[in-house]
Amino acid sequence: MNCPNEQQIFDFINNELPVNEYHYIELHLKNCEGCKKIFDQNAEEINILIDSFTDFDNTAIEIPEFVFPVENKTQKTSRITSLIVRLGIAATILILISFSILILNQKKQNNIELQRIQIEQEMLITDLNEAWHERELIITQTDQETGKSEIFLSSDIEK
Amino acid sequence: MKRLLVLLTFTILSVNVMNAQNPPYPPGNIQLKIDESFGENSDWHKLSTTDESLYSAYYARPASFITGRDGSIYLVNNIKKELQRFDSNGNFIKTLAKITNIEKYMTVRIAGIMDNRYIVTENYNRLHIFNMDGSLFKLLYLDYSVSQVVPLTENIIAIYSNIVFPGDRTKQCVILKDIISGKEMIIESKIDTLSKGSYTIKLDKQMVNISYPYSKTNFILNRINDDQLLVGFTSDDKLKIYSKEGQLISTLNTNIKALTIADSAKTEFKQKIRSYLAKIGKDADFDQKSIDEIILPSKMPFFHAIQVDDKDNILVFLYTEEKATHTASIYSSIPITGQYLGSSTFNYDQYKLNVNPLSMCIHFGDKEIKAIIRDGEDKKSPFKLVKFTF
Repeated sequence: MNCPNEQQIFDFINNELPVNEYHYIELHLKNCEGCKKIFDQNAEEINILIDSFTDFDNTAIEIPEFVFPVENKTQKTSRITSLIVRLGIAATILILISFSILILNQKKQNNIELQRIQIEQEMLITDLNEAWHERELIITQTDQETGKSEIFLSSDIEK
Repeated sequence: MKRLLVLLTFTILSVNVMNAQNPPYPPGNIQLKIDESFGENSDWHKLSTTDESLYSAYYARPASFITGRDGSIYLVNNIKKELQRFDSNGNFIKTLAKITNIEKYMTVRIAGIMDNRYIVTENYNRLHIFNMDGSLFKLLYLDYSVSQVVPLTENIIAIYSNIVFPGDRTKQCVILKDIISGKEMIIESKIDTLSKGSYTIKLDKQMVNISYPYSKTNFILNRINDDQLLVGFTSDDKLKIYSKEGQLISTLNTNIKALTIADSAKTEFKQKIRSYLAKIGKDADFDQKSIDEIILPSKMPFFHAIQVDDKDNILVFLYTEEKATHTASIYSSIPITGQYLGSSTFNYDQYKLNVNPLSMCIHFGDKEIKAIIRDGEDKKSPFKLVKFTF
């Protein structure tokens, strides 16, 4: 009785042989120590393989359902909110800077205004007839680059 | 009965004619004589300030004062920012209060005494109301700047305010305010412009604004008949008397003729502007025609100050050409429509006299005038209180 080749033994283990060939190899393996070794060896490898497959099956990895990245309403709102918040912060910073500049200018302007009111109020308590005799005038001198102003009476220049 | 009525009418007319013929102040020139004994126990140098560096800074506005019912003098020292009390002879009694919470570069002035109960001072938009012992009763912050304050009675004060709107507009108002409830009532107002009477010259890097200050004041306030308000209209020739409730009691047309600004005066003003421009090297930019058109009007305002003496005679001080004199048209506040009583000119040789009611007080009954004078000649002190007799 001729020995089957390794592929035939392998197919025998996997029960992939025609019935007559299967029975032939089954009988042969009972009587041939050499083929029995090859069979045991392959069977062991196949079992290991089967066991590993079994293990693989047991792990039952769950593949997450693929979701096409379409935003739902909440996510969209959240993204818009975030954008608005960022724009808001940027706008606030810009407004604060603008206001600071405005306030500084206003303060400068107010100082000029205060000086003007002060000098006009001083005129109210000085003797206006005497001021008229002195031909008194109020002079405001403003540097256009720095915005710095000086207000004085014309008699101060003569002093 | 008819005879009686005719007699009564005649008597009333005669009294009125006699009043008109006997003005309270001597007509023409009144020579003021200084009373050297007044305030001789007060050390004016120490009272005003010992810091001589402040002399020039406060030269034009060192102090203001008002007299109380008992003759005591209440003075606000603008240099030390103090409320000080003097007796009727000008001798220092004590400092009543240090005036704090004020706009330090603005002038602090006394406004008046209300009901012999409160002393009111004003500074830009702040009113300090002190009890007579100097303790602070109330500090009021107003929403507008104040040009003049006149305390009337029963918590009512009159305020001449200047409300500045965005742009060039201002609204000058006379307001009656209740200092307790805060209620306000505008009784007179006038819309004006900031640029009125001012001329702007644009130079390379500078802007120069020259302002003619005499037309900027539209109202002058004073208290009359104990609790009524006298409003003078400088751009008009009339006076009005209001009750403390804001009711118009009477209008008096003064028939004052406003002083015409002579060509020589205009030339002097222009010369002043030109010499200033020359000083900053810009006299080439002098535009005589614009200055003529914009700054200098043809006439001065009708008057510049109003005094009410202790007998409620109204002295309306006019702009004059003569230096070192002050001419007043005098009116009675009674009868109710007012009556022209005459015109007097006050002469004073030694000192410059400021006829502003916060710098001068006329006691007709005692024939005396108390005044703050700037004692700048000998530099002993920036100011002192003096008494003139006439």
